[in-house]
Parts: sequence; C-alpha cells; structure tokens
Amino acid sequence: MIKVSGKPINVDNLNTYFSDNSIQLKIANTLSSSNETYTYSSLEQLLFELNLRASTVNSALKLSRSNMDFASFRKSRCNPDFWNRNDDGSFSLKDGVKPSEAIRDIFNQGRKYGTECATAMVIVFYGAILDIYKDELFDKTYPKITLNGWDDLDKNLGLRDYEEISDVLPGDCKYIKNPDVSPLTPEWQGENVLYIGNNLYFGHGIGNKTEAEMIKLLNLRRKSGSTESAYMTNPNIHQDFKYLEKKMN
Amino acid sequence: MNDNAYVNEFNNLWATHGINEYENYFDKLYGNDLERALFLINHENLDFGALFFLKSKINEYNLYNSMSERNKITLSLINEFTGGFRSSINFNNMTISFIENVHLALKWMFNTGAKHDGLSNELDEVLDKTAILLIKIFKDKSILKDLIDLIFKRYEKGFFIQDLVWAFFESRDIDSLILIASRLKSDNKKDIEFVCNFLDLAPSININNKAQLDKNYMILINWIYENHLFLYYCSENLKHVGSKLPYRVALDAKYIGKKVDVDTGKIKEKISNYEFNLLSQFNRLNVKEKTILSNYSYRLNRANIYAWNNWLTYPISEQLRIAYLGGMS
Repeated sequence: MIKVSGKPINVDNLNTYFSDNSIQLKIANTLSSSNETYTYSSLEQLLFELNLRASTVNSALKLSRSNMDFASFRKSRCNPDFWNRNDDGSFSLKDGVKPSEAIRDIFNQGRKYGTECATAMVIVFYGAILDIYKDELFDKTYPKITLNGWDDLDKNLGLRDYEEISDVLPGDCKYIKNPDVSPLTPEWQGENVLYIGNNLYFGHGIGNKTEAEMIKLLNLRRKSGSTESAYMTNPNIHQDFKYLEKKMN
Repeated sequence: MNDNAYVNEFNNLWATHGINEYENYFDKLYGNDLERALFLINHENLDFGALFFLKSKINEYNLYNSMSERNKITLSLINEFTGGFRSSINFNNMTISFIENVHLALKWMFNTGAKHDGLSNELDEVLDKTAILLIKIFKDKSILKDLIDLIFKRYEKGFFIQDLVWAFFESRDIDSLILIASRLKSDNKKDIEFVCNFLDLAPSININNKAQLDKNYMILINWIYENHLFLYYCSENLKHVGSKLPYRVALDAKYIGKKVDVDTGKIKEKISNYEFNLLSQFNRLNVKEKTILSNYSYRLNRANIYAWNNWLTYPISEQLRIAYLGGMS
C-alpha cells in the first residue's frame, strides 16, 4: 500500500505524471499491491523515489553498455584525466576536476576503466543521482568522491541496507553469494547485482541476466568438486530517497 | 663466507639491487658454477622471493627437473596463480606425502615471502593467493597472526588488502578477532583507524582520545567474549554497506545458552522439547526483543544459573518485563 500524508493513494492518479509503460508506474503498482505500507509525507516525495529508481535502472543500463571492464582491485584502471588510481585499487577524484564530469566520463569512456562489481554499483548510484540533481547540485553535494567498493562511501549518497523489507524493486541492489568460490578467484566470491525490472538483474562483469542465469554463471567459478550453489542473499541496498529528496529543496 | 650467510645475502639481492641485476648475477653464476647455482636455489633457507624472481631463468635454462620437490611444487603453483594455467604437477601420482609437501611449500612461500611484501605487485598477488589456499584448503590457522600483521602493514601503506581480509575472515576463527581488537591499544594511529573501520566501530570514536579507545577496547573484548559461542559467519556482510564484520549473533542460541556451528549458525547440540517450546515463543518476537532477551538470558545464566532456570519458566512477556527491569534496553 502507498500512503501519502497518511492517506492511501490510487496509483491510477499517477498517470498524469508518467506514461503507461513507464518504469515509474510499474514500480508504483508494485508498491501499491505490496503487503508493506510505504509512507510518504508528500506526493513530491513519492514522485522523487519513483524517478530516482527509474534513473538508477537507466544508469545501470548505461554502465552495462559503456564497455567498462571487470577487474579486481589489484588490476583496476581509470582515466587519469579525471581520477587518480590509489595503491589499493580505488579511484579518487583528481583535484580541480568537477565530480559531475568525472562520473559522466565513466559512462562515456567506459573502456578506459576497469573495476569490480561493488564499485560498479556505487558508480551506478552516483550516475542516477547526477541525472536527478543535475551538475551544480551534484558537484556541491559530492565535492570529493572516492570509488572503493562499499568502503569510503559518501554518507550523502544515502545508501542503506533495507534487509527488513521483502519487496525487491527496480533500483534495489542485492548480493548473490558464491560460498564455494575457487580460492584462486576470490573476486567471484559473490556478485553485487541491481534489479532492473522484468526479473532481470545487472551485474558488472556478467551483464543483464535473470537470477537463475547469474547463479549459473557464478557456479562456473567454484572450486573443483563443489556441491554448494551460489544463492541470492537477503540484504537489499538502495538510497534513502527521503533524505536525498530533502537535499533538493 | 659460510653457506647460510651466502644464502642470506642471495635472498636479499633482488630487493636491494633490483630484479635485473639479480638475474644478471644468476646468469654469471650459472655460467661459471652450475652446481653452486643449483645449491643456492635448492637450499632450505632460500626465501620465496628469491625463487620467485628467478622463475624466468629457471625456465630459460631448463632447470625445472633439477629443482627440489619444494621448488617444483612452488613453481607449478606460481604458474597456476599468475597465468591461470592448470598445474603441471602430475596428480596421477598424488600421495599423502605429496599433499603434505604442497602444504609445506605454501607455508614456506607465505612465511618467507611476507617480509618482502609491497616491493612487487606480482609477488604480493601470489602471497594473497597463498594465504587464501592455506586457510581455505588446508585450514591452516597457524599463519593468522602473521596474516594480521601483513594486513595492518599494507593498510598503513595504502596497499590492497581485500583478498587478505577475506582470507582472514574465511578462517572463521573468532578468537583471532581479539588480535585485531588489541590494536586499539597500538601507538600507531593507522592501526587504530583500521580497527575502527574493520570492526565497524562507532564513527564518533576519536582516535586521539586514549580513554575513549581504552573503553572501546574493553567493550569490544567483552562483546567477543560474551558472544563467541553464538557467532556464525555470513560473508555477505563484507560486501555490503554499513557492516564489515561478517559475523552475526545467533540470538536464539544465546537465549537458551547453546553453542552454534560457526558456519551455519545452527545450534550444535540436541535440544529438548522444553527448549524447543521456548524457542518457538522466542522466534515470534521482533529483533529488538530477541536481542534484549538473549542478552539478559546470557548475563543471568552467568550470574546465577538457578535464577536463570527459574526465569525461563515464566511466560515470555514476563521474561521481557523482567529483562527491561534488569536494565536491558
């Protein structure tokens, strides 16, 4: 159920804001038919979440097409015009470079970059927020960016684990664990994946696949004689939409 | 110069003079005195780094068959680690003693290689995989202390630590968390910073405030001590926002005072019908209530087992009320 200012709303009323086949409407329908109650203090807050979720999906699709390579931290690479590569394989924004341009460069010149799946997810989230905030607010909110998997996260990204919520919505990041990964390829111990709708997930290094296909591919990276399959875990990460919406106002 | 001194000097040659000079030195030695060259490479006191940077020369001069068993195994492992090639070891003739020799070779690689960590990205990558194999395949926890030292040294230099951290946690050795926690008392601020990040301590900790650090050290040690029988491993935490420690407390087990399997979180011992009924009610509670009850249960059990047994006979709502009165929140 969706409640705005304490009152349930009819998703049909959102048709004035989004087209029939839009991802925003599909998300709204899922929220509305859920057993969970999703509460918003205003319609603008709800619209913000729907739009940011849609942007997150688009950001993932763009990164998927960017030709950015999969690389472990040890072998990561980045465009030195915008980023410094640190000794631990992370990337830090170069001095004097606009954060918005640096993030945009990853999507536009992906072949100059190589990193692992967690960092790719963080890039997706930054790309999504850039689409909504636009350059000026983005640069002001995130003046110094370090891309280092789930470490060194800017708290203004508002990323949090919503494990207690069972619905999986477009824009949610999940984790597929590969418990029997080959010890020689620890980078395949799991895959961070973003749900993009229609039962598909984006995973950097794997592409856009269903959960079963992702698991099948991870299972190819297990040690010899393994009998334990990879599996989707409970944690569910997405932005704190209400927090991010406040920053726009 | 006696043999040991000669080997020690040879061990450090690549690090002090560079790899090119080291290889040139070996070329001359090979040309003038092959026997001496082989004696050096196969010596039991040779360090892993010294062998690692001669692998191309060993290949060039076709010396593989003149290598010791340790060196043959090590060279095959390096090929697999760095090139992804299947090992050239003949596994059809694998015996128990061979498996033991692989284990010994890996230990030698780690123990003698770690001292030169940070001087070569290629060598460091092999060290990481060596640590992973020792822990995951051979369940060898004897390297944990040195592994922790290596992690802290690399963190201080800003080098890559993810694979070593993963290897450490994959050991599922809860007691060694105390070795990490003890670095809160270190004089090195980078050590303290690492512990605060690594063990996901409160972000408000001021690493310059010794009293606060000492207090957090005690809190941490007490937490590990209190929960070590009930902790289980869940590695997805490592890959997730907001939580680095890949262990969770099995609250149900803590509530009835039973040890869990560190791999699954399942209670190890058989439970009685009485305990089963207790858990059925316990599992209907929310996470906050479960945490309060399990913490109170543990502490009451330690303080007075008779009172604990009596408390467990009360309805669960009454147990909760008493727990709140007992200061649990």
